[in-house]
Amino acid sequence: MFYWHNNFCISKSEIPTNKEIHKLTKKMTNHFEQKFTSKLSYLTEVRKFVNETFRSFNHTRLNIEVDLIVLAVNEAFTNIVKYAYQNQSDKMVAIRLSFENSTSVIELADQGLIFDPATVKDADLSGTKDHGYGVCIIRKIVDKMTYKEKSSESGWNLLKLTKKI
Amino acid sequence: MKGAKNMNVSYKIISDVLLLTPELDVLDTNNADAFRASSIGIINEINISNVVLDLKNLTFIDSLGIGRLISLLRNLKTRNGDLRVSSLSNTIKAIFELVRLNKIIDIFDEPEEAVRSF
Repeated sequence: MFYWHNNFCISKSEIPTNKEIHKLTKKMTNHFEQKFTSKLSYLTEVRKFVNETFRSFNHTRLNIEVDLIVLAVNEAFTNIVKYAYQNQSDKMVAIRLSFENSTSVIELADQGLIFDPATVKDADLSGTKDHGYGVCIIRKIVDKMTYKEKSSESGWNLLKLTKKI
Repeated sequence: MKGAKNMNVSYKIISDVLLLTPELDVLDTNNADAFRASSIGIINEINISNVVLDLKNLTFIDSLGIGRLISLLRNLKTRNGDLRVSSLSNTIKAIFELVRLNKIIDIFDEPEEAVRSF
């Protein structure tokens, strides 16, 4: 059964109480999905969505860990707007957060140009460059990053970030 | 000591060191260029190239914010100056360490300590 709660589609039959949340996340998969317009001015909303969802459903995480995951999603969203959508501001980015046992999965889907972060070289961290840190930051924060290209012009590219608790 | 405010960055001059305090809780893609422009504007106006950036208000910084800090550091180095930072939250400190910014910019707990280090 699916229903909407605070704009999130929750794939569970009941809303858990705060005390039950941690116990439930250990037992079942929880999905939260929200769509955003492809504008960098929406970064605040993207960060808020990831931050609030992780803090609600992952009590065991340290604050810094959550902040770093928020940063990784911030960078992934920025790259999609800049490179996949070439700064076109009327497109859609869907973000889905899933929690299962000890693993968190963050998926970002877009219909733009193919931009596989895995093909981006690691940034020069010697201080000689003042740009190009985004993908490097994502790599350092998450445990695994995979990218699936869209299979048709109107299909969706899927960037999947996995992080163990 | 004298001080003033320029856009979202306030400043003080202490012992020939410029103390800049961004009045921002987020330094990201949407405001990093304006922050850099404000900072460079103050530095040009005051003509002091030893700068302490007090980041006490900052709770989040992204890759473009990091890039603009590096750009500011490089600008100051070309003037034979330097950039030092103070009052980092644990999260900002973790982000600095992630991209090894702590290896190229000295970090201090308090702005006064950073000013005295010049």
